[in-house]
Amino acid sequence: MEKQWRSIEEFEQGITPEQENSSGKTSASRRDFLKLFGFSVASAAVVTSCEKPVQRAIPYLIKPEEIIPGKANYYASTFYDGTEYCSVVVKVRDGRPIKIEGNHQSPVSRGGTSARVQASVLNLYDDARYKEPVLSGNKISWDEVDSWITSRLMDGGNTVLLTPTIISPSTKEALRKFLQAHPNARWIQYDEVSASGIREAHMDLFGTSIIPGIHFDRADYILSFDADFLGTWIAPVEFARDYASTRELSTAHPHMSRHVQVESALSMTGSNADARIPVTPRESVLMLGAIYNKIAGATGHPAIFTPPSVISVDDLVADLLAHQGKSLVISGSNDPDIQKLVAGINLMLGNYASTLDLKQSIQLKQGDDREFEDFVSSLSQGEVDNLIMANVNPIYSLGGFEAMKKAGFTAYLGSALNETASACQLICPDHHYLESWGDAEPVLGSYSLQQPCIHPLFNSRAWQDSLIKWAGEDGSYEDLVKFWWENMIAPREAQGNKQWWVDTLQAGYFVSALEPIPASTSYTPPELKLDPPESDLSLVLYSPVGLNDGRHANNPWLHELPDPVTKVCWDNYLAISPADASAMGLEDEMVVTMDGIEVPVLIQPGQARGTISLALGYGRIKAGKVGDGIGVNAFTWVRNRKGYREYTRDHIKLELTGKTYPIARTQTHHTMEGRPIVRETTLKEYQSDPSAGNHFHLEAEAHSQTLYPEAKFDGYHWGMVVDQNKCTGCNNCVVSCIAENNIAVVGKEEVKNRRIMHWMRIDRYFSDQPENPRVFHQPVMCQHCDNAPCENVCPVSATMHSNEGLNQVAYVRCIGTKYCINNCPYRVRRFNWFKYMNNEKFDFNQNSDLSRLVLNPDVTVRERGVVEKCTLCVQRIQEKKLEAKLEGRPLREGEVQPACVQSCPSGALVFGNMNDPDSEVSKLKREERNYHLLEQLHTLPSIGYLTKVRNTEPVPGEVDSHDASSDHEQHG
Amino acid sequence: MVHAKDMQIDCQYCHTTVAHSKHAGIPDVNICWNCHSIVREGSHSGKHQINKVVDAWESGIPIQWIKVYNLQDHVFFSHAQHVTVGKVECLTCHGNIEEMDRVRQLGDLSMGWCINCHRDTEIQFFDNEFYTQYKELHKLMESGEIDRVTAELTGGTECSKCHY
Repeated sequence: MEKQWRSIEEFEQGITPEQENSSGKTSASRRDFLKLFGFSVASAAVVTSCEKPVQRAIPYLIKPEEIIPGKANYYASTFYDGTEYCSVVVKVRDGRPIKIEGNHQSPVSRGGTSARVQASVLNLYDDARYKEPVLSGNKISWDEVDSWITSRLMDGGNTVLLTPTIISPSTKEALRKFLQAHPNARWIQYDEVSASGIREAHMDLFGTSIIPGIHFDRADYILSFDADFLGTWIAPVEFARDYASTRELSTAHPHMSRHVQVESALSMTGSNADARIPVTPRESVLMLGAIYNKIAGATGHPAIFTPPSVISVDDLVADLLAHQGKSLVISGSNDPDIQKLVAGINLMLGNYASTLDLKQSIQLKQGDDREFEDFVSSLSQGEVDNLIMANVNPIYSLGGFEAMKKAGFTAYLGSALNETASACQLICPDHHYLESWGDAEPVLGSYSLQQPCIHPLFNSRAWQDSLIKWAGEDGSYEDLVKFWWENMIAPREAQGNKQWWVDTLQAGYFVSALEPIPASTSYTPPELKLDPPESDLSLVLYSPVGLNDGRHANNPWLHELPDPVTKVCWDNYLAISPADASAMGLEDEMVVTMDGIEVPVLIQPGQARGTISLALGYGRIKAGKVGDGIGVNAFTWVRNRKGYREYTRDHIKLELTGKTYPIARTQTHHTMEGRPIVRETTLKEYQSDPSAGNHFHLEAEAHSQTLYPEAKFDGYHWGMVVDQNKCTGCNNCVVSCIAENNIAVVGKEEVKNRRIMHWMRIDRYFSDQPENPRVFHQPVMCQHCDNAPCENVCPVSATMHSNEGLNQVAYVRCIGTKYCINNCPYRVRRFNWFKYMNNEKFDFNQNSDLSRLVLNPDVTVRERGVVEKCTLCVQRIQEKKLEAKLEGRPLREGEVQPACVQSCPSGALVFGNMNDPDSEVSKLKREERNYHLLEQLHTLPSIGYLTKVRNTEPVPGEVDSHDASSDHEQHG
Repeated sequence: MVHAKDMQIDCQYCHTTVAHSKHAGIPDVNICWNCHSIVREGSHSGKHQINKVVDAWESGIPIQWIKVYNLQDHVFFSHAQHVTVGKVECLTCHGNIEEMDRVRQLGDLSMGWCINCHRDTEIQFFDNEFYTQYKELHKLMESGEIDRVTAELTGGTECSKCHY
């Protein structure tokens, strides 16, 4: 071989510098040295890697009978966090709870969950949990706690036990024991977000302090004033299921309810309404007063005094009168006078016999604001010696709790770090709900059981156990739960029957027969004089869908959850209407001061003029590493007015600071640019033409031609249908997907860089006028196209189509070119820009040994540099297929349910085998409303969407001549 | 060798979950103790190995077994699928355990090793009702275009059957 040369000099001289050197005295050249060095390093590496690293397998000493390594156990249990209830099924894998599923047997939550419920499993593995009892900063034992507390309580001072609403019958019994043993003790329930106005109104009108059962499924006409009943108001999971059932449309059943929302801030519920009327809190009250008087006039009842409403309510009144007994008026206000009006309207319309239920009343939110106010004043006068608080956080939710310092002794019973607990002398760690026994009665007569799904992780003790101990009684809370159920809750014929207990525990719920209460028809109108808040700039405080009232503020899943309406995560902000913003010279992300507190501004279409809104739940300062110092504490502006907690304020002054504050949004473009992405129609049009609004689908189908042979799928062809008429945008599926698929939290900065990892997103679009837009929610996950654009651009064939129609990604094969991301028209693929696991820069749940316990062992945790996306929960498909194979049978319809589908509270997602013409998904795909996203691209997605239908016009023959568009005009 | 050959103990006597779960199950100490509460001395290793079982039982600290078959975390493998559904013999992958004093890994656990078997191995197509859904394959069998159904034909060589 000819000698190669590297330079002219080398060619001419025929000698290299190395040869020059080697001709000298040294025998070993630098190159030789490097060769040898390289060889020795390489050979050392080869030799040592011959032996694989030794891994150990450690079995049980004695394997518990019910545990099979590699197989999950499911336990029915109950989620109740002091404000929200849900019956759940807990997936426990090798002893660790890793996922919350909805309990489809429960008559209350009926298989649905909420984003908070889904995220609650991560709270179990929260680093901020208290790990042992602490007295004035020193760790002590439980025995010391007991002797200490007992001696304090025996001193005979006044004791107050402050708890959230207790809906657990057995806990009430434990409380009774405690109160009996300590006659100087008082028990007070305190709701951070209170509904005592409803209870007081019903006390006045019906003589019982209840929240009636609210049945959206029985209502043809729903009028809601500021109640975000699909998001966070009282029992959103239950309401969402009922509500969605009235939005179910098919050619066989072309009817749906009509929903009108009157509100200031654009809530998730308002975004789903058929008609929405943005008003100030003052106008809202005046409208309600006017509706009351008109209905009173029509039904022969005396009117009340109210200033006149500027907005005409004639259409609303006519609709309500046309739906007597089949309508529902609700209000999110906590003002007892407003709630009396609402109850009065419902009574006059005859709704208390049908859509409202005095018998099966809701047991949530039992806090009495007046009682709490009395307690605070007696506390500040030094009349309370011992203050024991369980799972409440008044220091945060009162915006400061100076009176607490007057108590001689303070103890906290709770699970995780918070502002109040850290100010208490004694901290008694409580179990997480997944570690503890318990029960609940969310609706009168409907019970549900809670069972521990894991041995307590820390040296904690159920707070009910503490109560029993401090009452001087023997026995554990577990015994009490069993005793109470076997003897008090069990029907007479099953009392003492062990099998009844086992069966009920397995099902998770029990419904007892109730004595019927005669429906109330007579109505004695209260004497009311409406005193609406002043106009001027009003502040509206609301519970956001992610954080609710802030009790789970250390949960990164909830922080990174985009708000359903604004698509902002990791912050709260002042939402202001576009018109007000331009009048005040405000732009997005400008910082203003409100009562001296700096808040960023966000321009929100649909926000009523003259109002601004701010989410509660943020601004925690002692929540843990994730939740500390995010946003501002909106509870600062909650005040007590005439004895109830009021969540609106008027006469708000904003001052510009000249600063800006970046806000992270997951969606920054808000219109569809005229493209038929979410297709919509009206009920009237749908009734005359079921494919109304969806004609483009027929056109696309007609042009569906290809040079390639049609893809065929033998056996199973998985597909999904999203009913956009039922989807409320509640975000439950998003968190469910995060929990199931080990999806990383990336933090605010990376969200701003558009690197959020969520496999499932809910796109939100606005159309129409910015003052009062129509809003669309569209869940988007990988569309699993049969003709997938991502697949044929992958240079390494890391993404391919399966024989079951799934678009699959092999993470190990992916080299991260991101060509697939660029070629995906749906933007559903995510790239791992960083290693999110075990990385100090991403100090969220995946950066701690404890919180990594939540990971699903059936799903790979992705490395840096690979692309990931929705798999339609292929691990669940494979699991169920294997079960069917083991049993030697075909898969059953509905057996495989991806995480998003399983717990959807409104039943908007349907998954199944498209090869089976009788499957639910195939039936829905044959509906005229079905279409595919960007179907003109001929990607042939496996995901179908059903047209959004709004009941904007009265249905012929039902109501005469009232047009929803007039709603818009009234205030436009 | 002692267990499987001399004593003729079935694999599933100790690896109890192999038929139901993805894991074959490393025997917990009380399974060992079923026999070794009596058998305290072996013909090959005397008391040395058996004492580990005794120690574990008496101290309550389980034995830390050395894992021989270390499949990577990103591979999903189910014993139940192979043993119960596929009716694959243990020794097909684990070799002749009867002749091993100390268990050694048989294949290299590479993807090619798995895939080759999936290409060649006939599945229980007519014995398992599950496969009635595969109508096209049934037609091909009837028409004689194929004479057997391998794991590959039902998608057994696709990425997401093992990697997710």
